[in-house]
Amino acid sequence: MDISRSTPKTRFDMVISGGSHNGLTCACYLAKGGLSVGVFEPRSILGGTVVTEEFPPAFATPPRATRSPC
Amino acid sequence: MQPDVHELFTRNAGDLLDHWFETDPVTVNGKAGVWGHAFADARLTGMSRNPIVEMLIPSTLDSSLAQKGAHVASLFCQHFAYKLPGDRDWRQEKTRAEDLNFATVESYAPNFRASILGHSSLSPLDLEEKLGLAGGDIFHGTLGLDQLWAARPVLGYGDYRTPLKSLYLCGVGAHPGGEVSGLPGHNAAREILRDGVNRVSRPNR
Repeated sequence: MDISRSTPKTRFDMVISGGSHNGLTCACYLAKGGLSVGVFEPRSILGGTVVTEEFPPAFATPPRATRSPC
Repeated sequence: MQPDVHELFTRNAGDLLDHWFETDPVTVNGKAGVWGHAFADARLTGMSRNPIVEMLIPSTLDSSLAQKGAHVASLFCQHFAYKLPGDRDWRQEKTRAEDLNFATVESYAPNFRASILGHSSLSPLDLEEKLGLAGGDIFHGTLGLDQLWAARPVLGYGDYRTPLKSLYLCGVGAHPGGEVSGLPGHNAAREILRDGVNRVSRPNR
């Protein structure tokens, strides 16, 4: 899906505060159940603590993706 | 020329070597007697002088995570308190904590510290400020017997519903808590759908 071309929605059946893996899991099941869902995340990357981020010099590791906490 | 990090710090690692190529983390310094001292240290001084470290090298499974000839190691480090005694602040103490963890791994895997090309770390304060984990608590509340099942987060609110209509809990503060199961999110969605969209999102219609 091309997100940049879609018109931002302003009304949802349900909104999720935080795009962690649990927020995303919840959102997916709600969408599967027929609800329109908005996920709001302050960081520029989704996944909460379960993400892969680069740090210098050119390594990428999750904060704890290998055995992640939340 | 980049040093061959893999060769550098696995050369003398002894029996740890076998574990480093599996998908489970290896617990460095996890002997039973160490836990008591680590806990006492953290209670008294804010951090264990001889910390217990869970170490994993994910680049052994995915080479795209590191430069060629190098690896990335992930260290999960205990015990470090969110609140440090006195007027000490994690902004000043982070380097000391890093040193303690590196020294611990070094004591089991010689050359580890010399093989570090770069690193990034998250203190309890970083976890709070960067990832929104209140108090640096990765579990949003201890996973203790008194805070699981119907008592998570507290008795009376274990069904993902809150006193506010249409506000639900779908994070690790809800049962079954942390360790990346996705189950709090899944279970919350189940309860939301059970309540029905009309009741959930349009209570005034």
